Amino acid sequence: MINVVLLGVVYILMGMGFAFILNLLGIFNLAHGAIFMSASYGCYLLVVRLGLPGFVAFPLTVLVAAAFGVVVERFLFRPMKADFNRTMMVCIALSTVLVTTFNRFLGTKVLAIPPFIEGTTGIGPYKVQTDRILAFCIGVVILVAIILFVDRSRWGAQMQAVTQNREGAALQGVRFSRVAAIACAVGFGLAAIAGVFMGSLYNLTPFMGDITLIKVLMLVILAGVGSFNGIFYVGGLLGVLYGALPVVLNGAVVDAAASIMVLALLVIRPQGFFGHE
Amino acid sequence: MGVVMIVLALLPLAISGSYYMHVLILAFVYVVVSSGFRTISISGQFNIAQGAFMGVGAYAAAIPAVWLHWSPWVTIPLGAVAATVVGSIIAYPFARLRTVYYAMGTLFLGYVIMNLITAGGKTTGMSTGLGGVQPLFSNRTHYYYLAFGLMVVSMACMYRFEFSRIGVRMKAVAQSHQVAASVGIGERRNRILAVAFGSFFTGLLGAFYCHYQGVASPSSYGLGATLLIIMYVLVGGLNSFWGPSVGVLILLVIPEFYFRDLKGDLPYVTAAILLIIAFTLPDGIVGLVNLVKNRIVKRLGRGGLPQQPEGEVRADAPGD
Repeated sequence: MINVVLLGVVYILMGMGFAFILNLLGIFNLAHGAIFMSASYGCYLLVVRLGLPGFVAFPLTVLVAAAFGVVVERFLFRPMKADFNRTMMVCIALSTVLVTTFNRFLGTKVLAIPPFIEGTTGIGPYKVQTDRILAFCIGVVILVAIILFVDRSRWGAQMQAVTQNREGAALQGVRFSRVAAIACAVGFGLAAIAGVFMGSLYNLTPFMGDITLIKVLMLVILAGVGSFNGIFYVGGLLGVLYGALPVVLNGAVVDAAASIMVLALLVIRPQGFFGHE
Repeated sequence: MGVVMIVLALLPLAISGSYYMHVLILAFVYVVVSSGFRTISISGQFNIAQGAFMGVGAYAAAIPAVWLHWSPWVTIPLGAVAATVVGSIIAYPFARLRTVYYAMGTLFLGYVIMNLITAGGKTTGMSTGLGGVQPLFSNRTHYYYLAFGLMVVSMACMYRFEFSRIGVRMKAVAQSHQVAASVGIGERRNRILAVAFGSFFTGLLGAFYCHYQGVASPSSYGLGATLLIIMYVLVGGLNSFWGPSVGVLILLVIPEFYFRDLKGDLPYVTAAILLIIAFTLPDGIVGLVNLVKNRIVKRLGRGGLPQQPEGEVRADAPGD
């Protein structure tokens, strides 16, 4: 049960990161899944190969990913000027390089990030691994922080302004390049957090990013483009549905039903539940 | 063009290794499938479900072939028709989405299609694929000529389609659906037509491919396959008719013929090519060829042609 809830948190984190890049830069970041996967492997390498404790390795992975986001924005996304075909090429190239690298060197082995804390905690009659509870708490705190960041902070206001009207925001003195860099840093950072959580839940594979990217697309389509809060609500809803329905229904049926629901929504309301375009 | 055709037609006499023939058959399949992608894209739709459309064609051919023992000569056209029907039904809701949102929607769609296919239980062979699709011929040379013929016919049809009045309408829709609508070119109708036309040939070659391989497996039609197709198209050049073919030549035929020993490192080379093209040649290799051609013409003092990407419609283009 806690796994499903944590999975929901992972998808929300991924979806938020994806939406940051999509809303602010107008880029369909196909490499988001690859960043997620790389962060997972990166954290594994730091913990297992270098022997760092989890409390150091986790923030380090996230910071590296965020810095990588800034670099990618500056040297790969910005020169493309949001031209769709060219950003597509860049994203495919980036994702190919990351997936190939990890597949070549670590792809054949069965790996998992070891738990940060051993042991279980009793919640009522159930025993739950402590690290899962910890991950869940960290995830929720980060989500709340991100929502506050977007809603309350100065940078968040600038981001919302850019999302609504890029030229208008520029006229008010918002520096687009800086906002884009922050958005990429936050987006990649969130993908990294999600990747580390995922790596502590399941075994790592170089292709884990693909399926997660598709789940994230589902989330973003349902929530509607241009909304951050929508992702939070829809992610919670999907988490509950995916958690509760498999008890009564077959998992494949739930998956098919959810997919058809999304396609139906595209017909009825292409802007999603919370979109306003 | 004629020279290339004659060389390809006579090639089986010259090359001995069946491996090279296999590569060329694959190349013919991918030339058509990625040109189908481009045919859909001239109406402004970046379809990341192209691999899944190929899969629809393949499974629509494989299922009757395996379970009902239909002749391949019936099931291959059936695959093409099935892909067209599925493509047009799906195109209807998706005709409301544009650019990034269309791409996102179709990426998800491709996953859903392959998921529904593999959820078919024993009928579709689940995730391991449906084996035992009966072969057409026992001789690879026959396959080669069938693939070659299918490619020539498909490419001729798509060429006629693109440079017909309908093709011009599609390009008008892609450039500005509002201007197109103001002169009576409906967006939705043209976009659905483009998907139907493009997915017919995609399904046709998908069906051929599964009969050639003897198995229809979901991994050949998933996201990875679609990304390969997109790479071929973008490297060759999305804006010119021969772009996808050039892309297949550069990313599939040349590496398989000459660089087989760096198999594992090949994705790095591909990524580097993609990056170089993204940074310097937005119109792909064919764009570069056109650029060089124009330079030479200019140097020779014949005035030079105006720089104009082949696939775009100018405001003063002779429309209808």
